[in-house]
Amino acid sequence: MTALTVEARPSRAAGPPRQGRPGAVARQQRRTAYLLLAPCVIVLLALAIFPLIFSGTLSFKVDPLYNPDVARFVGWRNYNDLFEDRRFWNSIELTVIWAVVVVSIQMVLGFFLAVLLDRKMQGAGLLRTLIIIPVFISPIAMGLTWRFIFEPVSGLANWILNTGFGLEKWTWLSHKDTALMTLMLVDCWQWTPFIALILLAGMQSISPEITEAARLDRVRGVTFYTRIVIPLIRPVIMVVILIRLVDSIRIFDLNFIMTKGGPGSSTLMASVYDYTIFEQGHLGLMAAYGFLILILINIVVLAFLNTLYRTEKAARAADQP
Amino acid sequence: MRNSDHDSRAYDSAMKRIKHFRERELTRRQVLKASAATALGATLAAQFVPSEVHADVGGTIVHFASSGKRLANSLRAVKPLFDKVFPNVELEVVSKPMSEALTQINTYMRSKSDAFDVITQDHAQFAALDAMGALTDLGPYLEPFPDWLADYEQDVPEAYRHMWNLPKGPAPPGYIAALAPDGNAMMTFYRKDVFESAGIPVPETWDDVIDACKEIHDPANERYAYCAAMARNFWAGYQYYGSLRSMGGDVFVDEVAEDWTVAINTEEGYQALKVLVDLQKYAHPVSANAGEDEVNLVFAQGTALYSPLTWGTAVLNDPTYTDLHEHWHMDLSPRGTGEKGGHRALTGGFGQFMPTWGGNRETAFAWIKFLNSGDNEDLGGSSLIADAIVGAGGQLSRRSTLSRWSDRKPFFVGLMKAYPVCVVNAPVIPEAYAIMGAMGEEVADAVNEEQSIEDALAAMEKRTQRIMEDSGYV
Repeated sequence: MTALTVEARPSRAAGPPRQGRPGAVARQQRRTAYLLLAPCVIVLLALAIFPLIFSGTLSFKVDPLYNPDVARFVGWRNYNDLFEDRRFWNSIELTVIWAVVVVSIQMVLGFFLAVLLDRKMQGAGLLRTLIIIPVFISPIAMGLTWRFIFEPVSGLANWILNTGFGLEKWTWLSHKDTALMTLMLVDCWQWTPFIALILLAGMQSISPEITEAARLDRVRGVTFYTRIVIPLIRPVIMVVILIRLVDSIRIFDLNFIMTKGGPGSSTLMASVYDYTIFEQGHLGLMAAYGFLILILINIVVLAFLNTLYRTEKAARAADQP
Repeated sequence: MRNSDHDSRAYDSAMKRIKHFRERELTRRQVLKASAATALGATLAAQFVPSEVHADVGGTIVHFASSGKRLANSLRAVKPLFDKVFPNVELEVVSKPMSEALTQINTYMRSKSDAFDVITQDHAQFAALDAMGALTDLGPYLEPFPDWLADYEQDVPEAYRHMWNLPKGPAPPGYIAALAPDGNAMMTFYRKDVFESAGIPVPETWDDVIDACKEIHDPANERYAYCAAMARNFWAGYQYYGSLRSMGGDVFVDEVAEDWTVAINTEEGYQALKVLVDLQKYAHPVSANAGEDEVNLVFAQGTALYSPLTWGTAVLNDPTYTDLHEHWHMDLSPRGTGEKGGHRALTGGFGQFMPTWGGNRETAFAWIKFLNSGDNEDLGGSSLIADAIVGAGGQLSRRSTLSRWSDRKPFFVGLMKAYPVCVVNAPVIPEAYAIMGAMGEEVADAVNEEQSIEDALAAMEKRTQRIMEDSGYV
């Protein structure tokens, strides 16, 4: 095979140029490219574009799950209904608060954890393995387990508070003022190790020469991390923030399993509210809400990618002599 | 009571068998493999001698039902008996948690899924299933069995039986869309020992309910007077609807006469919500966000003592579920004291229907008929069928089997009291579930002090009105 290819190329290059030939080759190459892309495009059309168009159309319809006979187009009414719904704004506000708070806490804790794990110590490998376990637990199993732990009268958490520390029992998930905080606690327990491991990987990719140079210059402690480590792993930090922000905005499983948006509407975040709308059979309204969540996520992603791009560009400009 | 001793022996023997399994300390894997329901069914099947065997019938039936003792496990317990009558039919029970199953069934049916041959679904969904064209008229299938049908009709209370006749409205019932061996009604659940030691009777009115709660509430000792399924969406909606009906109110001015004017924001509507809000003072902390599973759990633990309105299920009389099984008793739900007030128990039931797009119709019907058979062996029934259902944790709709079991299941005594005052648990229109969900969201916000009673009532009325406008009623 190799021999044939080697022979074919010089003969083509050496031969007299034939009119139309380059165009034919280009066409041939384009055709091959399209053919190779086709399966991917078909899958994308079937799994992403079609549902997007379908749900986009649905968002302009009244289409009750329970009574398909009355389905009809109603223009922008579903969007208007959402904008006039106090629960919609409440769910967006809660989702934004949730995303900002949990990602901030997880980033700070995750960074400290990464710093700890980055030190040379005995059993660090085992510790890293143990620390990542929460990430791999099924959110459903984890949510159910935590729900039992936070049972307000006879749950383990209150038993520890009460018997172990002599403190008053807490309401955890069963009161509107504490339920969201409790959910945040569980989410941080699950995702902080993930962030820590990614940041650790970033830290360990820093060239030893840089670390050594910093050591010789007596740059250490907080300064070492703020002046050397953080700037060098900034792209990693940005990516991990982006992943966690998008995940947090889309939060569903934990929220659904542990509180279903209650008590009242105190933990009713966007995806669970959208699912509630679906449960009640309002397919058009559900699709409209889904689109608004999509827009919200896209705004966050674009803002972050833009920041990431600018940071990188600035860093590259600074590197040039 | 001819079968009483025989049935008692069968049940005790089955329970002993399960106990025996436990005492031999099987491994977790073995226990999982031989679930209690299946073990119970196998034990009962050993005693079951079918009057006829249909070895010539084959095929597979896939039955979808909510998971848990009451529904899916009951089916699994009856399966070994059915296997003896139809040895070559393969029966597969597929289950999902109830909180997801109800919506999933509707989604399957909306997409005309042929995945299931029989489905157990909540009564409140049947009008919607009818609108989707998902229901099969069981009339032609029942026609060759007039004696069986007559036996069924005289045994299952009329209010309950008619839940499965669709469509409703001023016209006579249309067709039989389902049969239901399972019966339920919203009742008062109370700890008899606690009420007796406090010297107070079972509350008769809503005022009595508040008084009783004041008397028995003892949070310092982790004994909360009141607990109810107040989770947002449908659970809270049904709590409110139960209370509303007892006060004499309803969602519409006159459903039977097809006057669809929304009538929630009324004096009855206000009183119905106010009493639920007032009861929060005595509520177990889980109540604020509980479905019935959570309520049952705190009842079983003994930290909650009373609920005026709950479906509860027979599980609280199950010795394998709670040590307090003898103390939990059931009675009529409270009545409103206003002019229109009365004892009105919301029915709660699951009917078994054959989806339009399912297969193996004759065999699927044979399975439904078998499940719904009474004790009469001449009609292809057997007392062991009801025993399997009750033993697995199910509950019954047939009066004969209910009374046979009532000495050991106070829940059944409550059911028999409730049946005569039963009212259907939601308006019989496709929009019922959407309305219950909308009401439940507003009620949950009101009982959790996120909005006032007045605002909640206004919002319920507005949302119901919109749902009815969208469907072209008004």
